[in-house]
Amino acid sequence: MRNTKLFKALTSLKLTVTTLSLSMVVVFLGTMAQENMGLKMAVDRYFKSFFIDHIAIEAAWNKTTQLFGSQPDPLTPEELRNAKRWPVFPGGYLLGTVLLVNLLSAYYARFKWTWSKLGILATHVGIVMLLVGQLLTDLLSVESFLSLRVGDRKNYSESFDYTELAFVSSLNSKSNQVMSVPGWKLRQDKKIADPTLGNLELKVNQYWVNGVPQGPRSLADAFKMRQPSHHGEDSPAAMAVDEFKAFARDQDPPPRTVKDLKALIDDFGRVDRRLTAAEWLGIYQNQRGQGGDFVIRMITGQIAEFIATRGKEGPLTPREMANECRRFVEALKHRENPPDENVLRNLTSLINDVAAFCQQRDMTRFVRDFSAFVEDKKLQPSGADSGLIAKRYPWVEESPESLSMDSRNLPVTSVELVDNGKSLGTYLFSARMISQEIEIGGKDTKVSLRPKRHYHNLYMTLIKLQFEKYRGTDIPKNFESRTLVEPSNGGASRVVDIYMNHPLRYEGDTFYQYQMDSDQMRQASRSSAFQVVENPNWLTPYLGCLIVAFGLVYQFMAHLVGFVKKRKAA
Amino acid sequence: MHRRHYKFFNVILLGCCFGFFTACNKPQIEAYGIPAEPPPPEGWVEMQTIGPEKIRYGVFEGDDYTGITATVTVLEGDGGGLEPNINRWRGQLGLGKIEGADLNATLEEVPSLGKDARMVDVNGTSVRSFRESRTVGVIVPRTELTWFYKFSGPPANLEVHKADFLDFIQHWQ
Repeated sequence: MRNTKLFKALTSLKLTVTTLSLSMVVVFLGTMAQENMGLKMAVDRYFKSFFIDHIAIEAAWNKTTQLFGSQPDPLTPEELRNAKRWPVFPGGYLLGTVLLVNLLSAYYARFKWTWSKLGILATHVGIVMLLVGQLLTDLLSVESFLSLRVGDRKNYSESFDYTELAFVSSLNSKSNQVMSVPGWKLRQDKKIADPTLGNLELKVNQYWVNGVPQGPRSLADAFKMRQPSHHGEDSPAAMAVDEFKAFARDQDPPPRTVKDLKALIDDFGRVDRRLTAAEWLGIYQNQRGQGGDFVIRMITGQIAEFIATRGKEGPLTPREMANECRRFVEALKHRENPPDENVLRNLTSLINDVAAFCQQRDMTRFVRDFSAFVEDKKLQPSGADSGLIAKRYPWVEESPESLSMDSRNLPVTSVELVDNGKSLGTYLFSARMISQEIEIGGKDTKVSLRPKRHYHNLYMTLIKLQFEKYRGTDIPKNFESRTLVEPSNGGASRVVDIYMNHPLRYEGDTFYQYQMDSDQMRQASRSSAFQVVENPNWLTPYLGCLIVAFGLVYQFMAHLVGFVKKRKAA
Repeated sequence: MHRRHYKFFNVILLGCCFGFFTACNKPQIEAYGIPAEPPPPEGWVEMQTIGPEKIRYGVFEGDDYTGITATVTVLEGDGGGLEPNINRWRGQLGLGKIEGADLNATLEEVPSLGKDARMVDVNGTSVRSFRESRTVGVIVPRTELTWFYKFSGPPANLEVHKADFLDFIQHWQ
């Protein structure tokens, strides 16, 4: 066998050099492709594959030519993910495997054991361990992140890349059962039935990789966010938003198609917008008090009473409403026991604000701008008819798929749930929304689309954050999180500080300090994120490096000792 | 070719196949158990939090809102201290500041939440709504954090639901 062509080729040094050279090319191209493909896709297509496809090479080529002044159009996520692909270059797994085979074959062919070669043997065993260890890490490790605000307590981390449709129901007073259907399966399959799901069957109506559920009210809010404000005051078009929301809420049946919605917006502009005093004040409350300001509620209540006592219970024009408010101010001043001067000044200012609010509405502009805004959104019908989310959000606004590591895709899906052959309805689930309670198999089940969760055998509470910068600069010096770690089995809890290069290791999971939002001025959002790595193979690279180091030191010392002995003898 | 050589290449081939076939480590459909969190009392509905609150519930009787809110806020260290926080709650009900022995007289211990847990129960008129209101507040220092549980609303309704609140905060973390 040693004389066969294949064996000679496998053991040749040329193959080693060629493989290492190709590896360098793959590393270069993979780095170039990252910008267009995103880190995860580039790693998957260049390093975690046997062959690199022509689309991935094109992504790298585009970036490389940019270095020389060319401006090619970047590939779209759709092209990167779904275009037909042809393998054109060896990938990381193939090169790693060939290198490994080359190394082992060469040993098999040439190696003869002597003590003087122990160092060389150890060095190569270490390299083999590193190669195999990297493969095992790729295959077996799971990475996720755990984000906590100060005081938060969690026993799970969330996947960077994967989502799940989770069905959580109560098993008994101490435990819940989770059934998890991965997002990629919802995206790929139209019908999902599995023994794990029991009698439950999912019929996927549609899956949006990244999207926002939209309804008349959320669209109105999004429109309002886009309107410019002048000196902190909302524009007239923005001020009409709350009135539109109230108008849309009262529609029965609510609009289910975009055509209905546009008709509704037109109606809103066409109808005589005379409203009762209570309606005017309700809109004002929502606008200025966000529905919860008690002072505004109290004053608007008194204005409503005042207008009612004047017999003006019917609809009022904006100007009539403003005049009524002003009359109320005059009435306040001339009461038997008028409020003291400061209170009166504050009340007058508030009531004048109500009056100005009523007069400043601009429906024409609102209708024109809002219709155009809705048109731009290119809304798609959700196709769902059951559940709170489907009722509030009849449409989905599809967003471009993000490949960047700095943002994540928030999918939306419309799924018909079938229990024991009986349809429970078609529900809309979104990674942006909280869970919906649905009765499945006689059990109240919370169903939500969320980042895939990895549960751990501990509860972690964030106690304190420390964020230090080098003096006089914005360069971070130290991120540190003080956490309380409580074992799930009721064992003794302990306080652990996690900071750079000082992770927490717990039952095979490693919690690294990852990100931090430590703005002292925003107590509510002070948060810390940990990268959680579950890697049963984590010791292999350390062992590999130790063995390589031992081999090199042994070989060097063997030569050195031999050399010194020879000199002494001479 | 010698049999030993076949073995050698077979091992390598198997290794490659293992790598190839297991390269796809996507999550699959699965079912598993997790520890259950204690559910809130019946009629407690989660609401939008305000400021640094961790969670906020509104208490409903059927479809009717009782006007009661239950919130928990967790702050670093002593969260400003017992006295300023009690006086802040009193201020929200239009009551004056108290300190020393007067303050201690208004505090009750809550042994089930630890020896440092203190409860205050105050009645007054809300400075925002100008309505009669009552606040039951429990302050619990716990591992370098302080937990502020607050239960407030119309006095008559609050009395009906107070036992639920005190029972729930034993498990509310």
